[in-house]
Amino acid sequence: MSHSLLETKALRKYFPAKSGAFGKSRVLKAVDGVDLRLDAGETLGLAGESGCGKSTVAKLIMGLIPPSDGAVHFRGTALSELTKEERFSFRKDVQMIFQDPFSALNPRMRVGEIIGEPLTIHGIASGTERRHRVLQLMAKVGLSEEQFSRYPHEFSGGQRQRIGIARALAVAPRLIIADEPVSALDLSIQAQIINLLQELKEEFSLSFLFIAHDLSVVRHVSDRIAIMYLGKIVEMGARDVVFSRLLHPYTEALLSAIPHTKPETEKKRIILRGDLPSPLAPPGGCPFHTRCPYVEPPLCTDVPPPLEEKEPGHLAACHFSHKLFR
Amino acid sequence: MRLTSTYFYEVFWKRFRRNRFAVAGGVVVLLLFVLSLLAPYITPFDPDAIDAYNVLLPPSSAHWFGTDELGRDVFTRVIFGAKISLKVGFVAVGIAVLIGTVIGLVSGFYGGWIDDVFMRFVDIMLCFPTFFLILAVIAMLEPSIWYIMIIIGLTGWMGVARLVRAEVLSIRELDYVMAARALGASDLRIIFRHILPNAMSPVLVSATLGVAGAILTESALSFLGIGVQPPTPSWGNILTSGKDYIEFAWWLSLFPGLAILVTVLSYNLLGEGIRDTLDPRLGR
Repeated sequence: MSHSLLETKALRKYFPAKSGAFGKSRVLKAVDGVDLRLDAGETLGLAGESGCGKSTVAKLIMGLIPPSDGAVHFRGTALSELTKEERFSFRKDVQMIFQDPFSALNPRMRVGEIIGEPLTIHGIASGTERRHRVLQLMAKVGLSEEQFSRYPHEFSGGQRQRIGIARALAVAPRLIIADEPVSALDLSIQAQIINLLQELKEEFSLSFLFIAHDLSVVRHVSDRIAIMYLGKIVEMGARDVVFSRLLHPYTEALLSAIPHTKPETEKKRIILRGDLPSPLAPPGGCPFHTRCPYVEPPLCTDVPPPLEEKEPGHLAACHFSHKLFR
Repeated sequence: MRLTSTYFYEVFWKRFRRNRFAVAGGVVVLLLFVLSLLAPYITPFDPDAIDAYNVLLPPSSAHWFGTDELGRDVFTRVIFGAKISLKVGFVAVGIAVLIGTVIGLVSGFYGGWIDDVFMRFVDIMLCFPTFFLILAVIAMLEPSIWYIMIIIGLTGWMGVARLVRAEVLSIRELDYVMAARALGASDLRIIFRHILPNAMSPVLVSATLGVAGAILTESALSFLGIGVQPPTPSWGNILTSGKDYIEFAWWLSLFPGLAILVTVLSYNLLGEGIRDTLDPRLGR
C-alpha cells in the first residue's frame, strides 16, 4: 500500500493557560483533532481566520512542537517514531516558508550565508561549491549575483521572501509548508511570489501545504482545500468541488468576503457577528453556532457535528449542510 | 543611496555623530586610553620618585597639578592612575560580561528549571549590597588589584545576565530561529550564529556603563585603603592622602577627583549615546 506524503491523524495541541498566580489552570485547544492528507505533487490549502490554529498545525507538522495527542505521519512513519538520524533527514525533506519576511531572516547574516547555511548543516556542499549552489538558488528565485553579500535589511519584503524561499529550497525538500507566505506583501508582489512558488513547484515537483486566511489566494494555488475553525476542520475537499458546492456556513461566509471583480453584480455579503470565540472556552455543540446565521437550537448548540463525507471526497462538519446547500 | 555590507556601522556612526555629548564622551575615553598608554612618555617625572625639597607645591608650569606630601608630581600620578583605573574597569567588566552572557544565554535558551535556578541565583546575588559584599571579601584577602578586578566582576554580572536572557527570550521566538530549527541546526549553532549576535547590542551599552561603575568602585575601595595599595598610584588613594592636606593643598584632592568625575561622566555619556543610537533599532 502506498502512503500519502503527509498525514495527520487526530492531531491535537493543547496549551496550558493560567490566569493569575492562583487562577485555575485551563487549556487552550489550539488544534483539536485535525486529520489532513497530502499526496505527493499536491497543494493543500489550509484556510481560516486569524487565531484558528493554522500556524500551530504548521509547527506540529514541522515537528517544532510536540503534539498533545495524535500524530503526524510523513511517508507513512510517525514523526515521534523517527530516530535522531531519520529526524535530521526529515528536516531535509520538509521545509517552511514564513509569513513575516522581516523576522524570517537573521539580520546579522549576509544573503549568501543565509541561503548557504542549510548546505553546511546537512553537509551538502562547502567552499566554492557551496557558493556556486547558492548563486544557482538565487537565480532560481530571481535574485541577482551581486546581492550575494548583502544584508537582509537592504531588501524589500518581496525580495526577502525570495531569500526565504531560496533557503527552503537549498536542501531540495519534497514538501514545503508555506505559512501565510504572501499575506505580509503588497498585492502586486503577492502575485509574483505566488507565481514563483508555482513555477518552483513544477520544476522541483514539490508538494505544498499552503496556509492562508485569504480564500482568493488559496483558491488560486490549491488542488484541495481545508477550512479550519477554532482548531477543527469544518470543510475539506477538492478545490472546485468546495467552491462550487460548499457545504458549511462558515465557508460560505469566508467566500462572501472575497472582493468581487464585478462590483455591479448584486452579491449576498454575509457578515459574521462577533469575534472568534476564545479557544480557552470554545462553545459547546457546533463550535460555529455562536456566529452561524442558520443556527438551530438545540441540535447545533448541544451536539458537535462530526466531520463527515457528505459526498465523495467532500467532507463537512455541519448538521444541516444537506438542507442549507443544495 | 548605495548600500554596502558595512551598512550597520555606517548608519550607526551617522546617528551617533549627531549626539554631541556622546561624541565628547567618546573622545575623552579615547584620550584617556592614549594618556594611560603613553604615560611614561608624556611626563618627565617618575610617579614614585620622592623629592623632599619640593613637597606640597601648588600647581606651576613645572608641576601642572602641583606635588604631594612626598614631593611626587600629582599630574604624573594621576595619568599613571588612569592606567590602573582603565585596567580595573575593563577586566572587571570583561569578567562580568562573560559570566552574564553565558548565564543569560543558557537561561533564556533552555528555560524551564535551568532558567529558574539561574534566575533565583541572580535574585540572591542582587540581594547583597554589592559594595559591602566587596568590602567584606576584600577585607579577608590581601589587597591586590587582581582580587579587586575579579571581585568587581563576580558581583557585577547579574544585570548582564538579565539583559541577555530577556533578549534571548524574544529572539528565540523569531522566525529565523524557527527556520534554523526547521533546518536541523544544532543548539550551539542556533545560539552562537543566530541568537548571540543579535543579543549583544544592549550588552555593549551595559558594558560601557559598567566600566564607569567599576572605576568608581575601585576608586572608592582605594580611597578606603583596601584597594590599590600605595605607592602604586590610583585616583582613590591619591584622594586619600589628599584629604589630610585639603585645607592648604587643595590640588591634591581636586585633580584626582576631577579625573574620576570626567572619566565616569564620559563613559556614561558614551554608553547612553550608544543606547540612544541603537534604539530605535538599526536597519529598520
